[in-house]
Amino acid sequence: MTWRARWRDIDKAFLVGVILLGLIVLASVLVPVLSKFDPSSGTAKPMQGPSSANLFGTDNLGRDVFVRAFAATRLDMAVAMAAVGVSLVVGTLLGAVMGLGGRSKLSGLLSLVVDSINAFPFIVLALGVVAVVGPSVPGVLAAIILTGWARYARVARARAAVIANADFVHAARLLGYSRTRVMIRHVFPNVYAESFAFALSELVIVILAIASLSFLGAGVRPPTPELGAMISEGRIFLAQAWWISIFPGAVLALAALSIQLIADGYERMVRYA
Amino acid sequence: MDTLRRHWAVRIVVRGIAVSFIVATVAFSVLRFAPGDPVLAILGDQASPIAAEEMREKLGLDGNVLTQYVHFLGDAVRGDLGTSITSGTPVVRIIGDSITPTLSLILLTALFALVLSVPLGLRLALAPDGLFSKVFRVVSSFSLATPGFFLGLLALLLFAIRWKVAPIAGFEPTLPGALAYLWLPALVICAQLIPILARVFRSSVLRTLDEEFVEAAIVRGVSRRRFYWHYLVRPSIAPTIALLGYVTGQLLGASVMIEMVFSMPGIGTRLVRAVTTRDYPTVQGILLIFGVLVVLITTLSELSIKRLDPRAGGDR
Repeated sequence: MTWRARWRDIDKAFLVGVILLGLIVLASVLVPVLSKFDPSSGTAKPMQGPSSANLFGTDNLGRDVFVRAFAATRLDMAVAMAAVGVSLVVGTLLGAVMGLGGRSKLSGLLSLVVDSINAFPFIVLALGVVAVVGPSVPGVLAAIILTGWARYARVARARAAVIANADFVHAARLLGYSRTRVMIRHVFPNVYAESFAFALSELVIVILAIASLSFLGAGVRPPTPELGAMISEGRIFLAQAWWISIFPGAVLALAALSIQLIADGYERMVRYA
Repeated sequence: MDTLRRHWAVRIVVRGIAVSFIVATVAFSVLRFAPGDPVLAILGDQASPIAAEEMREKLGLDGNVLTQYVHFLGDAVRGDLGTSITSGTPVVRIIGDSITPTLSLILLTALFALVLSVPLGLRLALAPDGLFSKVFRVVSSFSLATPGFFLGLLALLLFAIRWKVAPIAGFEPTLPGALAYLWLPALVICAQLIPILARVFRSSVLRTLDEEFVEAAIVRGVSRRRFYWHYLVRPSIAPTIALLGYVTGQLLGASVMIEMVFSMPGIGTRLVRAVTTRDYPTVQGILLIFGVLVVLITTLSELSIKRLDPRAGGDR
C-alpha cells in the first residue's frame, strides 16, 4: 500500500483526536515534572490571573493552576483507564456467557441484574456506591466498575446471541470441540472487537463521571489535584477569579473531545474497512 | 376482563409496575452488597459492639438479608422509606419537599428539547448535506464532549454573573416565578440533548420522505402546513419520543449535576448531601425514587408513542 492510499484510509477526525490526546497525555506527564511549581503546595501569590509565569493563573491558596490541571489530568486518565479496563473484561465475559446461555436460569438472572442496573442513571447509582465505600480513589473505582460492567454486558450479550447462531460456531460444535473451547476460541474473539469499540466511547463517559463525582464532593477529595474537584473549589470565586474553574474545565472538555473523536473515527474505520 | 388484559395500555402499565420492583431491589442492594460496612463508616472503627448493633437496627441492616428485603419492600409499598439519621425527618418527607424543583426542571427540559429539536431535525433532513448540517455536526460534537456541569458553570458565569439576566442560585415553587430560575438550567441540559434528538428525528424524517404517501401528498397538492405536520412530523416522531423517554430517565442523572451547579434545592442536591454525610436511609430512599421515576417516564413515553403512531410496537 502506498503512503497516499494509507493516508486516505485514515479517518481525519480520528487523526485529530489522536494528536490532541497525545498532546494532552504528553503535557500531563511532562508539566508536573518540569514545572518549578508544586501541584499541591501554594508558593505563588494567590488569586493571580493568567500571566507568563502562571499560564492558567493561581488559585486561592497560591497554587499554580496550570501544573495542578495537568497533574489532575494524569490522575483522571489513569483512574478512567483502570475502571474501563476492568469493566470491559468482566462485563464482556459475563455478557458473552449470557448471550450463549440462552434460556438457562443463571443467564436469565444475570440478565435481570444487568437490565435493572442499566435502568438507573449512571451517576445516581455511582453516588450510592460512593456513599458506602467512601469518597476516595478506590471509592470512585468501585462505583464506576460496579455500575459500568452492566453496560458492557448488554453489548456483549446481544453480540454473543447473534454469534452463537453463526455458521462457523455450528461448524466448530459439529467438529466436536468442547463448549469452553468454542466459547474461548470462536465466540469470544468476535464479541471482543465490538466491545472494544464500545469501550472507547465509554471512556469519555467514565472520565466525565469521575470528574462529576469529585465535583459533587463524592469522589477524589482535595487537596489531591483532580479536575472535577478543582472546578468545584474554584466555583465560589467564579465572579472574581474565573480562571480557577474555567481552565481545568477546558482541559477536561478537550480531553473528552479528543477521545470522542478517536472513538467516532475508530468506529467509522472499522465499519467501512 | 380478558379484552382489558390484552389492551396495549394495560400491558405497558403492568410491565412498568413489575420493573419498579426490580428497581427497588437494586436500591436495596447498593447498601448491602457494595464493599464496606455502613455502620463502621458512620461510627468509626473503634465503635463499641452495642453501639454498632443499635446503629445496625436503626439502618434496617439487622437480621438476615431476606427478612430485611421483605421489610424494606413492605414499608416502601406503604410509603415508609425510613427516617434520616442526620435530621430525624422521614425520608418520604425529604423527598416530597425536594421533588418539585427536580420534576419541573425535567419537564421544562423535555419540553424545550422536543420543541427545539423537531424543527431542527426537519431542517437537517430537508438539506442533509448543506452548510447548516455541517455546522450542526461540529457544534454538536463540541457540546457532547463538554461535561454538563462545566457547561452549566460557563452559563452561570456569562448569563448570571456577567450579563445578569438569570438568578445565580435558588428556586421558587410558584409558577411564573419558577420559570426565571429554570430556563437557564433547562437550556444547559438541552445543549447536550438536542444534538442527539435532532439527529434521530432527522433520520426518521429521511425515512418517511421515501414513503409513498408522502409522494402521493405532494401530487395531490396538500397544503403546506398539513403536509409538514400530518405527512412528515407525525409519522416520524415516534422514535424521537421513545428516545426522549429513555434520555429523560438518564436526564435525572444530569439534573443532579445541574442542580448542584445552580444551587437548586432539588432531589439531586439532597442525594449528594445524603451521600457526603453518610445518611444511608435517605440515600436508599432517593435511589428508589430515582429508579421509579425512570420507570414512570419510560412507561409514559411508551404510552404516548402508541397513541401518536399506532404502527409502533408495544411488545418490544
